[in-house]
Amino acid sequence: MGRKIVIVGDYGSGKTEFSLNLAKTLAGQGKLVLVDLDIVNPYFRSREATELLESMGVEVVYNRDYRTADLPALSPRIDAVLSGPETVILDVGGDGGAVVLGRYRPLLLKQQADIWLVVNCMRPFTADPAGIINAARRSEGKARLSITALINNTNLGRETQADHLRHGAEILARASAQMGVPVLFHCARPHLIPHLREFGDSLFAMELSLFPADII
Amino acid sequence: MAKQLMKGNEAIGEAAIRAGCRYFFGYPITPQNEVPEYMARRLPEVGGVFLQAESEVSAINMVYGAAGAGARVMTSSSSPGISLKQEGISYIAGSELPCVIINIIRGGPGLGGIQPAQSDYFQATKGGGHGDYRLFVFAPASVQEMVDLIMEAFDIADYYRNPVMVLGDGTLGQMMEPVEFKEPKKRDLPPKDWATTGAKGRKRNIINSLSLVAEQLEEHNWKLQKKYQHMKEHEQRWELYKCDDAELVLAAFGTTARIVKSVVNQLREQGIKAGLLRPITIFPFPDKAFAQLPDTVKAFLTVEMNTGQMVEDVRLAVNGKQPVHFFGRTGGIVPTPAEIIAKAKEIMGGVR
Repeated sequence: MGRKIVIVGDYGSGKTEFSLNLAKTLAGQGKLVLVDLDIVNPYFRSREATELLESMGVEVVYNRDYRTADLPALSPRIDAVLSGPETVILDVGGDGGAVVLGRYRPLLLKQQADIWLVVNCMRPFTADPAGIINAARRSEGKARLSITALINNTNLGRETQADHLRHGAEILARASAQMGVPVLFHCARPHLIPHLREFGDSLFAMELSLFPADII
Repeated sequence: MAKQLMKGNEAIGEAAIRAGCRYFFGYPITPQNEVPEYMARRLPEVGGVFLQAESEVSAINMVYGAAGAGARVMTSSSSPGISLKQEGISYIAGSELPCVIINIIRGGPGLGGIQPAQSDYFQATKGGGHGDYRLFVFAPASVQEMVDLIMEAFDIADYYRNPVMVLGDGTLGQMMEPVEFKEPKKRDLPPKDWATTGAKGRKRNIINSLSLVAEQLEEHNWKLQKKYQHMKEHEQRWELYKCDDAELVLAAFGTTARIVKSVVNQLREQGIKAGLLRPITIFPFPDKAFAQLPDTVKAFLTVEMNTGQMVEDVRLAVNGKQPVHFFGRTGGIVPTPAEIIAKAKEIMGGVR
């Protein structure tokens, strides 16, 4: 049975970019499905990378008839892949978007799904442990599921430096101790990787796919 | 205060709060929903009021009331919602009240779509509602610039006693960029002695846009026009990028201008001397910028996410001296650099 990994977090935490990078990392190791579960906000969703992911053999699940709409419609395929042998990544919409997870709660509990909270400490509401715990509790309350790990995705967009990630790691370490869940990965843009070797195997290389490259 | 990574829509909310806005009345619509969401979360923390009205019509009339009472007040919507607000906006302009209105444009007409567009340029700059009025309109191109301009917009609204609109598109509202909040340059603002604050010990103030005596209404209109004229003389803002030796000047505002900036760089690599003229105020339209352009300019190309709106103001400013071409995508499609470059080459081939 493949793992079911649910990616949650406040909007703007980098859930979608993380989900896409996770999919790229896991692609080619058995059947992999990325479910775009963001039915709240129609911009910068993982479905925008459908062609790229399909070229890597990843199945992308979303409402194909209305790719750019914000319709609250869920594909029956989601139930199928959550019950099946596939490895599944669920990219959940920000904030209130986690409500939709409640719909899949029985299946996710049965499959012992991982629920990972992506955190960017340069975002206004998750700049300290209290804010992160608050974000976690809100997601958990909406999804009625418990977070099992934290992902450090602290960044300042194009102005990100290695110290931003270190700053985030310190804050997440405190949140992690209070919540009793581990910090699994520290995400960094490829050019920063050589400066962050101290993170060892927990360093996760993030290529950005969705920010429009034509906008300078 | 260090920089934060913020989504355009939430940065709008925070900028307004930093500028002293304590009242927000609105109604949700994609792609600006994070503005009311952010205000609902943050305004109570600073002793302000967030109210989700039952419709856009009631929201704008709440803005009318709060502005009349002298409050710093804002509303936000996207295209169809802004259309619904037009009657109230006209009343606010007619009553000479300050407020800030955000329009994060989506594709139209009608309900249209929810992807980015710039097709409300006419509506924003030519009045929008009924009567001879103008909004002061900013068209920022980045989240940081949007923050800076919103913080200033409240002062400008108070200074002119006129609604200020900040025009963005879905992309600008949704994109995440680093921002910091800096105090804007202060203006000398007159006391709001016209506000309905309770007429204790003074003559009562009346906020009204009804004027049944034609001579008085005409006089009121000339007074308003004098204000707009003052804006045209003193408030025009623009950015010129690589225009010093340009032969082709591309004119674009908002998000499109950032795409065009990369087009200018690519055209120059290919031997075409291109430049960008980016209006930052679109009312007043920066016609003074055109006087600063060098004699080398042979043609203009206006690029917009609509079927050709700002191009009319560009044509008025160029006044027939050079040909003005247009390239646009609409309905929620963002133009690509490649197709703009192809259009630029077609034009420059023709000139040579």
